[in-house]
Amino acid sequence: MKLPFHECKLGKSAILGLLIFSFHIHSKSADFSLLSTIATQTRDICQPKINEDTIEFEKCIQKIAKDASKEKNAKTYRLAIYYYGWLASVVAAKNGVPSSEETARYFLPKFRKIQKDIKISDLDLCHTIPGDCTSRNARMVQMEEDKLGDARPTFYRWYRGN
Amino acid sequence: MNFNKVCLASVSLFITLILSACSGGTGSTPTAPVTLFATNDVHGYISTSDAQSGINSRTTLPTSTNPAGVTVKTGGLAYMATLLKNLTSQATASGANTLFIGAGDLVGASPYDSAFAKDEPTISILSKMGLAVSSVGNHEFDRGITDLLRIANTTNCFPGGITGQNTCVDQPGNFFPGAGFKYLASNVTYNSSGPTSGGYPLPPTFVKTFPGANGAQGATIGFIGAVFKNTPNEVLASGVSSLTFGDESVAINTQAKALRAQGVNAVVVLIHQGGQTTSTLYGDTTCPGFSGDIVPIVANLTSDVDLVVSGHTHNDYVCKLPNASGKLITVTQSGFYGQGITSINLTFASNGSVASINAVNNPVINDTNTTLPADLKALAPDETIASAITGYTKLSAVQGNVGIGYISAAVLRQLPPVGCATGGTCDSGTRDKTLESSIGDLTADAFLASNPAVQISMNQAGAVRADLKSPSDPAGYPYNVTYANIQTTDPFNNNLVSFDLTGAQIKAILEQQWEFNQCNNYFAPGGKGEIIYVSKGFTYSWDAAQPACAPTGTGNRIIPGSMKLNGVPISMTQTYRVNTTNFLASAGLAPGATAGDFFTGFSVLKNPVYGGIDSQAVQNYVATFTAANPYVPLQPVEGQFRIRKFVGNVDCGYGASWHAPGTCFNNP
Repeated sequence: MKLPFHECKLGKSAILGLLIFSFHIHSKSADFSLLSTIATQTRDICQPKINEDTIEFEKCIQKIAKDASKEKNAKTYRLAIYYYGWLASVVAAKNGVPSSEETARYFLPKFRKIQKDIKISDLDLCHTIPGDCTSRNARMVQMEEDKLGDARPTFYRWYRGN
Repeated sequence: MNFNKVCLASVSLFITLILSACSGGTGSTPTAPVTLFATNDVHGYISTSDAQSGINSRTTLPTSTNPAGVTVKTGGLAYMATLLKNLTSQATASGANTLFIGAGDLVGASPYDSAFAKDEPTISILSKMGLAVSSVGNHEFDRGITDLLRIANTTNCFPGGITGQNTCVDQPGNFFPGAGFKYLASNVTYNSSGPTSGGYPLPPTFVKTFPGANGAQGATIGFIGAVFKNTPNEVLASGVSSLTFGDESVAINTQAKALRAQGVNAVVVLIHQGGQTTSTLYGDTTCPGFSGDIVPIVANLTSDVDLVVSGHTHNDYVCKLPNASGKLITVTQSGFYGQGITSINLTFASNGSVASINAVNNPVINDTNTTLPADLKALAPDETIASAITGYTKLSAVQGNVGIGYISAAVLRQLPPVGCATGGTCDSGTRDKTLESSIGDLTADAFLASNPAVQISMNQAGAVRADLKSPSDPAGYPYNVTYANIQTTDPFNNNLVSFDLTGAQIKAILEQQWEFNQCNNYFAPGGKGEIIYVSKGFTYSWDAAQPACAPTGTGNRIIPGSMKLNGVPISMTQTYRVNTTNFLASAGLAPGATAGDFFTGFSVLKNPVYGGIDSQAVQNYVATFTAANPYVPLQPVEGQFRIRKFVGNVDCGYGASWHAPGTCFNNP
């Protein structure tokens, strides 16, 4: 199901409701397929906000994840959202987009915690979004081993509200 | 087909064949390959970093020693020049002709060492490097079509600028050499308010005939430039009001057909629009998970187009996307801030048509401090280009340190943290987006002063990034604020836009400061909401005893009758002229636009007119204060701050007590 988020005149909350509704329809049949679908829809909503930096993108991901957390099956949903948020930030960091490394580090523990809770392997999770899993998972492990935490400048923390 | 059509087709074919023969496009002799070197989105990054913002271009590169890759410093046009020379030498040695091309946003949103001279330094440097042709990007229109045409077509200095200081800064002799390359824009035409309705301000195409090489005849390549059609939504409207930005693929197809009729061997599109992959390593040519606005554009292109060189999305890729016939078209992008060059090698079949296209992204590695893996090598800077950049950097430093106007004390983003030391729940003791601040009020007042037609100005807390203060604060006052100081405080260089709102609509926007969309998004611990700074003369009170986080459109915290303009109650039905940044007002500036910081209330604004840049407005405002009469930071008292808080019947005043534990604590 493709939801025209950026074109629809409905409020974002209403649209999100539709998206969550689509999640309920599919969740019993194919979780990995659903993770892919939610990641794709997250991409369509939030990816355009990455340009000069990832601040607006980060807010977009947070907003969607927050709204999704109200739902019964929120863990899987939020896993897809945060994982996409992390991946898109790492991709942006590859090109040196300002604040992207910090955004990636912010989302990393969020999806890792849910991933552990619902017991999805790194490889299975990686396969929900196209790309080379060797380099992507190595980047993930490297980022965890760095133990840099949230190293963003003060104003980013302030901007995010932490 | 009737006779006339048959006749016309025959004549066209005859002309085509003649032209093809003349251009060397067909025949039995082989056509020499061509290697194109492409860059995009340089954004004026002539140096390796932006000293003001601290941004350094970095790139994660594949290496045999680490599957995660290695992140190294990249960029800088002196280093790019070296890479370009190296790649050119290799291509030439293999018998290929070469050309350096671009895909827009070469300038705009630039670091100060280019921006201080209206980006003439970047234009000059890229010209020295041999750039031949580029599409325009949206940022090329930042100073409007008039200045774009000056940059593209003339050697004139910036009107009103100071020769040798902020325009015409090339040496010796203080001059601007002009663009040594062609800017193309096939989907940009004049409208009825332009000088020639329907005409092109910039050429739509550029045709390059290469010389023969090693016994092979030279190819002729037609280039078409385009920029995304929604560009007017992202630039100063008054600067493009005489222009129409048409559908990209329609314009490209029209020009591609015409170029084919001229008998070119290949048609290359340079377009400032793009997409992104999900690859975590630079230079990946497998194109995983590609998406973006370039996809439907390519899907509507005819097979007259052989190659698409794209930009705008600050990503790197080499992809193959289906066109209207299902044929796979190579689409490339090199990244941004000068981090790489795409090498695109075109070979030709015996009939002169394109036989193959192979592309790869090459990083501009300037990292001499990191120990690089053996399979990566740092470039040495090109001395000629480096010398020119050094000249610009030195001159810009002089300009950036020129004082503009005086302040009597630090102008802060927050109130002094009264109660923070004992309350323990202030926003890290730094600042709080839920509170009115001296620097926020200064920016709103600056916006107001920038436009005499405006009655109320607004600015959002997120736009103000630093205090204005003396480097030796609390000493050093009155302090002469520099241009560099203002750029640090207000770095976004957003456009200002004025518009009409009724009193009721203004109230609805202010209610959104605490409504659902702001809750849990940007609030300091203990507080909810994001403040909108308002200009002098406009005051109101709000009641924190009313619920926060109400559904959008149902907030009820503004105390009825409290909104006043110069002491006169705001009428709910009267229209007022308001201005703010195009970011905050974005919900009302384009259909379907994302609301800036979730302030959807601006969607109802009427009669928007763009005018000015936020940082320029602040600069102009600060410039009105002298050492003898410096700007005095506003205090949280009646007559200075504008937003008064109540909690039920308790008057909390203008913010000083909001951080202290008690009834007026910055509670939800």
